[in-house]
Amino acid sequence: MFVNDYWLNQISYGLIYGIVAISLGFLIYAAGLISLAHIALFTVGAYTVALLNLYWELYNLDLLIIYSFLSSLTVSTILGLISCRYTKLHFIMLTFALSEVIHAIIHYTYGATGLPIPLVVSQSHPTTIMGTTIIGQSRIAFLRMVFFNYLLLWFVLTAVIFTVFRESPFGKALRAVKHNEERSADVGLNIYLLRTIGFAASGAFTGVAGGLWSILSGLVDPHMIHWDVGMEFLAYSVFMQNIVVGPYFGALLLNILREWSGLLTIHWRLILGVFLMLSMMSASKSYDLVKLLRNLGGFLK
Amino acid sequence: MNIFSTILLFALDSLLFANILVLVSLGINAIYGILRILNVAHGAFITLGAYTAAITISALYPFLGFAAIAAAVSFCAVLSIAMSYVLHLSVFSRLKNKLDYQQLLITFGLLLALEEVVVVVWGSSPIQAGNPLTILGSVNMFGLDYPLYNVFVIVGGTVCSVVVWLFIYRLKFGKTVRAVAFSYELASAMGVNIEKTFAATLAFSMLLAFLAGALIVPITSAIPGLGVDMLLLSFAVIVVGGLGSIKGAYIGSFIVAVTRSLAVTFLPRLELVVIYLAVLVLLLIRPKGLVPPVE
Repeated sequence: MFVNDYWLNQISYGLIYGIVAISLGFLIYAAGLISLAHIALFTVGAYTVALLNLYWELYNLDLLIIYSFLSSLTVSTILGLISCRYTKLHFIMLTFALSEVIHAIIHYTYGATGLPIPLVVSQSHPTTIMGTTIIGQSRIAFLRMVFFNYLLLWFVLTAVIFTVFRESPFGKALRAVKHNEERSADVGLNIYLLRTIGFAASGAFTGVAGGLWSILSGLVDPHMIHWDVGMEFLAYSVFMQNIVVGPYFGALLLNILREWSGLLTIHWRLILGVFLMLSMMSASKSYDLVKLLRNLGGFLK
Repeated sequence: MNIFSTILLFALDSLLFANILVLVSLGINAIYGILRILNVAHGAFITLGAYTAAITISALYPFLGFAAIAAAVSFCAVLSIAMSYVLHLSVFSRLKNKLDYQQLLITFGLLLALEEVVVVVWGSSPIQAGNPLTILGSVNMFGLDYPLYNVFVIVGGTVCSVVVWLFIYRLKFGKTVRAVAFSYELASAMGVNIEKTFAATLAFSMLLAFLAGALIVPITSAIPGLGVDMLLLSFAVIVVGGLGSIKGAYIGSFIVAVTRSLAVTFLPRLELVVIYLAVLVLLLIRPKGLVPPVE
């Protein structure tokens, strides 16, 4: 690897949040649904990996991630069935209420202290990833080499899948619904079903990101579900919506900004807040990077 | 404590909480009615009000006695109106043509920034303002010792909400606001100055938030994030009552306050989940809230 550990760690987290940003960005771009429940789905994915690893002693990474995909798909389908009957502010409030409910359930069931993930690549517990078994490697080396490539694979997979979704008849139908509900219903589209499928797909991949995140961080706790983070996910996802991987750059940018302003001062939330305000206020309706910089110049003038 | 005084305590606590919630959610609903945005930054206004009041009360109480509360309230009023003017010019007047997620994220950015400004200015340790609470002592009602200050808040809060009600339904200002909320174009065509109404509504909403913070601060003492907790509960209120509905804010506040008191009494660990589950069930039955605004 050509970069040092610090940057590799940043890029790894960036890739994970990139998966979240791409899937939530798809939901916003295609369906116009602004979800605050994605942080809850992220945590559901993370908890699935932690629970299976801790209690079932499952050390097969592929299975763990597939299980986290399935569990978050289930939860997001249920949430979608409840909340997709509404749009706009009602949808936002409903997804917020649902994520608070999931927060309370996880807090109540597994406690406030969270769960550790003993997924270390040791002699006693060989870890399987992509069909190959790894024994006796340090955790750092594992995360740097094999796991990083695995992350990259999932990231590319997510980007490809959502590109296909976006250009498919399904994605186009969703956009038609976003632009004009009555007309789409007249044409014969099932609005509720389309939105629910979109929400479920987006939520399932967010759960995968959560599962990958838990392996990287090594600890999950119920306070991961904080509506602040849900808002940050939103801020990633509205970045450069004209291309599929655009939200990934939003995730990277905001994470680096938070990291650097955190090193600079303990009052980093001030910097983040002002940045969010300025960037959103200067953004045009289509919000991409070139226009952002140009408009920022115009705003400051 | 006999059963009667338990019920009385329960009722008084719900009433106290409902009064504060009414002030907060009326402010959010007024902004939603006029600008069609969910003003998340409202939480920071409550925190600012609480800190302003706490500082004023703790500084002036030795000299003024109970007049310090009046001084705190009037200081909050002046500050909120001045701040609303600045914020209207710099932020809120630019929100109209933005997409919904941009509006949400702008107010969220404002919340983050203002909450952090509070920490920068006053530090993160709590500021006590309990003098009125301790000196007023408690009053004995049917064998129940209840803090006199809480009674004062219940009375003061009720007076405030009645005044707000009269303001919205009896005065010309309220009529204008309701007209703009009903139809932006129509009101403008009838000669209503839309920009001025926006500015006045923002000032009104911020005044209510500051007042709510000022009233509650002797009980809770000022801590960062105080406003955000209230904000999350008032989300529940406005969903229950109906987005942008004034009457709904009153009814929703009482429902949420009673639900919260019940949850705190019987299932203290599940306080929020009980409230939000109640909200969910209600939304599934009445999607537009209990009192949907006139369309």
